[in-house]
Amino acid sequence: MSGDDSEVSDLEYRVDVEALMEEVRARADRRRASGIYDDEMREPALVELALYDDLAASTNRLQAAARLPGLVPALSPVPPGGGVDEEKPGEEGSPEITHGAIDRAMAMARRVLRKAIGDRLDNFMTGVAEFVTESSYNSRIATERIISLERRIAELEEEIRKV
Amino acid sequence: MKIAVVIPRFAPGALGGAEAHGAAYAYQLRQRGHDVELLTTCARSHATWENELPEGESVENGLTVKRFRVRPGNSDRFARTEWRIAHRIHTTHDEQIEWIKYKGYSPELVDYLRDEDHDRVILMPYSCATTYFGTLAVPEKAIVHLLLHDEPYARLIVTGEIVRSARALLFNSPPEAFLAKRLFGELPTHGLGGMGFEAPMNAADPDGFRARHHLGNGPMLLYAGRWEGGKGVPLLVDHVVKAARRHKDWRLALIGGGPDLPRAASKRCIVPIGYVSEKEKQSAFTAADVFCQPSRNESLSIVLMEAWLAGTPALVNGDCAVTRYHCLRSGGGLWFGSHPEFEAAVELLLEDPARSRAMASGGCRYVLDVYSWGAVMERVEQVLGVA
Repeated sequence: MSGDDSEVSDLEYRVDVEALMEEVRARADRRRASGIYDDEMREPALVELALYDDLAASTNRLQAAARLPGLVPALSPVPPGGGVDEEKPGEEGSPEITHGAIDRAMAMARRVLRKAIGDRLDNFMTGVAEFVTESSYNSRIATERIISLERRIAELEEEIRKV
Repeated sequence: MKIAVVIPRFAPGALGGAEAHGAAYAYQLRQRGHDVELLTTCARSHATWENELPEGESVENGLTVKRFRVRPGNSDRFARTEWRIAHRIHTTHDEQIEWIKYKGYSPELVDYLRDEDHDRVILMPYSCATTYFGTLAVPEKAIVHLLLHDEPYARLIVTGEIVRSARALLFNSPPEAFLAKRLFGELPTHGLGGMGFEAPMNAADPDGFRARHHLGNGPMLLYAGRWEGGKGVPLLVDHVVKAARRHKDWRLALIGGGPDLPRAASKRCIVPIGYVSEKEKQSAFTAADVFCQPSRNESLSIVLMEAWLAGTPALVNGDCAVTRYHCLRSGGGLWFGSHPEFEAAVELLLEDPARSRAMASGGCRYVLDVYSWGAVMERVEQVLGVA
């Protein structure tokens, strides 16, 4: 393909970024091993994201999302005998009568809908919230165990190398 | 050569990146002596595709522009299919045809392409009706500049049809070509296009920029572009907020704008500036110690090139093959894959200013060697002539 590596002019000006990236990775590994990122791993993702690594970052995001702030049932259940929203009737012959009739019809339809599916939707949303919360907690436990195992393996490898 | 450049919209002041790219090609090819006309639709908005601009021919900055009316599509069905595509749910060929027809389909433009005696037709980008129907109408002349991203749209049947029908393809970078090979297998004749850059003309005022935006004299990181999740802005903000616990003098300046500025941006280390003039943007690039490009999905990254031209080294997202490639080839920047790497890379870039200047200088040479207008157009003409 024209313009690919073979056709770019000589790159003697190029700084060896691959060598620099080795240094970057070495520094990152030393810091991880020192544990300076451990506390940050537990922080809520939506406030400050602890990007220790992809696994921890993903778990933090899941946990933060599980909080579902402001979650309320989509439809408020109407108590037995609950009334329809009443619009103040307008004078006879005025446009308010037409609007009032439409509003009453809409309110009646909403009440019927609420009674039909409101409770079911509430239960569904509650179930979703419970599932998400439990999933995120499960992920947190799994993540901490995996990272702990990774560290232990690294320690063992180091010990083996010394032997 | 008689050349048509086909882009879905041409509404100066409301151009997307791909359309600006196509228009730039048209102007550059005309300057190089080709007989060029720009073919486009009457649409201004890529959301509604309503015919807002007048149909017919005009001359704009010396370029002949011909606009054709869009045949409106069904927005509800488009939205449903769009959702399924974005979530990688199977769609049929017919559904994809109807989906892509919504994005700037003009039968009159297609007929014009068939009837005219252009030598070559350059079409871009891949995911729109003008490119799809235009390529299929005149495959023997079609040179398609895909502007490909690793996204669900790239995996559609209609995209494969464009690639296999075209006479030749143009890419912004070798990683984009590698992606196309991975997705579509054997490719027709193809070459490297790109956007052209020249050394900046505006005199930058880096000290004034820092003073005007209260950035102080400490280490300054810069982001320029849309503030949205797809561009990696929340990720970048979180990295800097985290790092600022150990580096209290670090500041991240954000120029541009958009919907996704996270709450963490209220921290002292984050300085959202907003949209600025071209001159002020130039000053920002020059004032920065590190230019950050956290996006995973770039086909070229114009702002990365601009940062190098301004003498600033870069730190890019290691998951973006294109920007990582640019850094590797030029020596102009580093990349990160996690927070510890982000922090370590910034420290490395800050602790040796002479080395960082050398890196930026390498990036600048790379931009002018590979992506000057002269170099880009030579390669494009090679594809036009050889294909």
